[in-house]
Amino acid sequence: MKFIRLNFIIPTAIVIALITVFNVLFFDVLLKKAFIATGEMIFGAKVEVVSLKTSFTHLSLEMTGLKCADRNGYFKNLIDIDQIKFQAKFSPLLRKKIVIDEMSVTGLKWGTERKTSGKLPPKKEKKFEKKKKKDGMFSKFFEGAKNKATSEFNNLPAVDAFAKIEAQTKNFDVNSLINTADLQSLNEINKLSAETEAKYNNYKTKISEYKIEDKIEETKTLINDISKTKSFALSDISASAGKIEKLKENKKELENILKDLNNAKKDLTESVNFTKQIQTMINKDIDSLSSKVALPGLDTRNISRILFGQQWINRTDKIIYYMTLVKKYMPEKKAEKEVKERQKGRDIIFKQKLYPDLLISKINITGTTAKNSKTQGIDFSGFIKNISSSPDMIGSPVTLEIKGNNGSQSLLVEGIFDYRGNASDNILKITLKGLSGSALNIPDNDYLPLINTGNMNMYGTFSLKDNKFLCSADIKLDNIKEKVIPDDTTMKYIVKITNSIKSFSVSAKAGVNDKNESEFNISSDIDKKISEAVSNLFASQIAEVKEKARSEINKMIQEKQKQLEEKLGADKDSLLKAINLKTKTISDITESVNKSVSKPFGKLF
Amino acid sequence: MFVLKIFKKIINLLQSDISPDQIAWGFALGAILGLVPGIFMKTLLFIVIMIFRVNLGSAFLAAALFAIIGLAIDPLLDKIGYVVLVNFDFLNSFYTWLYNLPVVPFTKFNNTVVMGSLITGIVLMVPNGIIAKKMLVYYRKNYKEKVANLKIIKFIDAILGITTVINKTK
Repeated sequence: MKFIRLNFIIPTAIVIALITVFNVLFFDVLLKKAFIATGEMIFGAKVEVVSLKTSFTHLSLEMTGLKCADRNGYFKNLIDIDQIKFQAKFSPLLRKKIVIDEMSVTGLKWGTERKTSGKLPPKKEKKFEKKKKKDGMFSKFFEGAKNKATSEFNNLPAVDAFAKIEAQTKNFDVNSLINTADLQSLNEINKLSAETEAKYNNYKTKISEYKIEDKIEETKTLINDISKTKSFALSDISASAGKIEKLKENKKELENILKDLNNAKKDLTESVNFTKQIQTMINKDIDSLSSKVALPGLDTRNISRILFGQQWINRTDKIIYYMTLVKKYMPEKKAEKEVKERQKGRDIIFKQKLYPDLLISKINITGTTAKNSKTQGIDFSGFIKNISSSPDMIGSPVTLEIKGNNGSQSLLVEGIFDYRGNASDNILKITLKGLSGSALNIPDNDYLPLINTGNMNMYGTFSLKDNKFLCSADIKLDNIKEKVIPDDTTMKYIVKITNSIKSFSVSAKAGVNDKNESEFNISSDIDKKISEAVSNLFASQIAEVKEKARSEINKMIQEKQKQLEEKLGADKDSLLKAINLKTKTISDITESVNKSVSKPFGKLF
Repeated sequence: MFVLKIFKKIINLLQSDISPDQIAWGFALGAILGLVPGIFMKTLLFIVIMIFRVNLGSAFLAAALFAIIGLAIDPLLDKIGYVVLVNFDFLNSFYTWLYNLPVVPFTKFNNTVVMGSLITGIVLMVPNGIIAKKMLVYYRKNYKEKVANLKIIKFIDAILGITTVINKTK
């Protein structure tokens, strides 16, 4: 004991004992505070922990009731974990390394309701914003895509088009559309009537102008005169020759008149049938009315972008944010025997045989997906493997696999976060089956099918390779239920359109390409389906209108047509009668002429 | 006043009857403490100095002196450390073993300045101890009486005495 200073060792031992006691009593409280502060700086919202217990004898930590508020909705929790438990290995701790063989995370949930706001106090909020600005590498790129898409949404005409449909269907009334002055069929009847009347008058005038009776009388006289000639005196012969010549002329004239009368008769018999012409005009009138009820052109190409664009942007924004967090908190690369310049000396790094500075071999996770009044949660379980500060040392990337099944619903999340070598490559794949359409978070809309009642399947991939990221998702929604068709005529047509859509799919892509240009793309067959439904529905509506219009027009036209036919029919009959009489008389007289001319005396000429 | 106090303590140390071995060992260990950077290593050396019955005054005097020297010769210590850590290939496996031992990595022995300072301190420990002891023995034999009777020493004693009385009456 000669060389040992007891008056140092004893007080030092007492101080160490006091520090140990302090740590045992207050370490958990201090650690909890530090944990909450760090969490709040990472997520930018309140972080709460119900209890945190550490054990120096077991080198274990148990945390319960961890709730991290969502920065995008302060009354919701981004993450809600019932319990986190792990035990560190003792010997690696003495080598300045934290090695955890198995960690358990139980009761993991997200999107749970909060009773209090998760907003940070102004002082902490300011600090977070400052920090966020510093590492907003991806947000800068993504901001471009976001702005581009938002400006496109604001210029879409589809909502206007829906309003036009609504107005059009509201003012839909066949009777108000029929204007008698504009009806071509009616005008045609009047025109036909005038034309026919003029024609009849023309024939009447012509017949009277022929002076048929005079001609017949003259011819008869000539025939008598010729038949009375008995002597063959030169003077008689000369007079008879002149009469016969005149008779021949009269016969020729009468034959010409007969020909004209026969033509007129033929014309009258054929032209009396107006029905065909009027029917053509009626069809034209119906077409003209149909064009008045035709709908404005509906640009449905961009409906999917309106519906899913903002949702897609918000989700991609979230995923990129969290993947960036993963990247940010992954360790910097260190060469095996790197010489690092320092203000005071250089650290020579030797090969580490056993463990990296931090190694969590496996995290077992159990939990439930977001649950609310509309969606049923899925219980899931899975693991994260190989979380390490030196992925190259352990030679494996961080892998994630979570599976869940709840009857018809299933969930599969697979991820690889590879930070080996000089490049980083992160891929996250999500497959969701049998989920409710309400998971898409698209609010109910009069102009949309009941998306929330549908059955949704989704496959999404999110990749982050160095500074390039690409997110893509394929969503299929089917079994969409029908809405009750309202009595209100305004909405009836819209509901019919939306009810005809029972399923649809959406494909979305967003990211930054190799040229550092932002990409944003959404396509869906809902555009085509709505477009088809609109044209199908309105095709039947227009057919209905046509039929109504046809019956209305027919009703109006038929009466007029009857009047016309009755009037013109009588005129025609009397005209035909007169013509027939005239033609018979002319025929008889021409027969007499022929007989008279064929007699022996007549033959002389 | 502070400088006077330090000066008086050094004189007291030299004039005292404390074993020259204790003072010499204190000086030698203090030299290493002063040279080596890094809290963990300094703490370890401090504990060693405190545990062993070496003279604390000489140890802290040497620590202060060699801390200043260390600052001045940092580039040299860095080079020595680099040579020791990197150029001696046969030691590589030893360092790797050390690097993977419990607690040892906390000493930052793999830092060039820490290693250079430690090596320099250890190498200088024996010469420092011997020189310190010989000088102290020589001083006590030849100058102890003379220094005790120096007017300047008595003057410093008087000033420090008056200051103590004034402080007490306050």
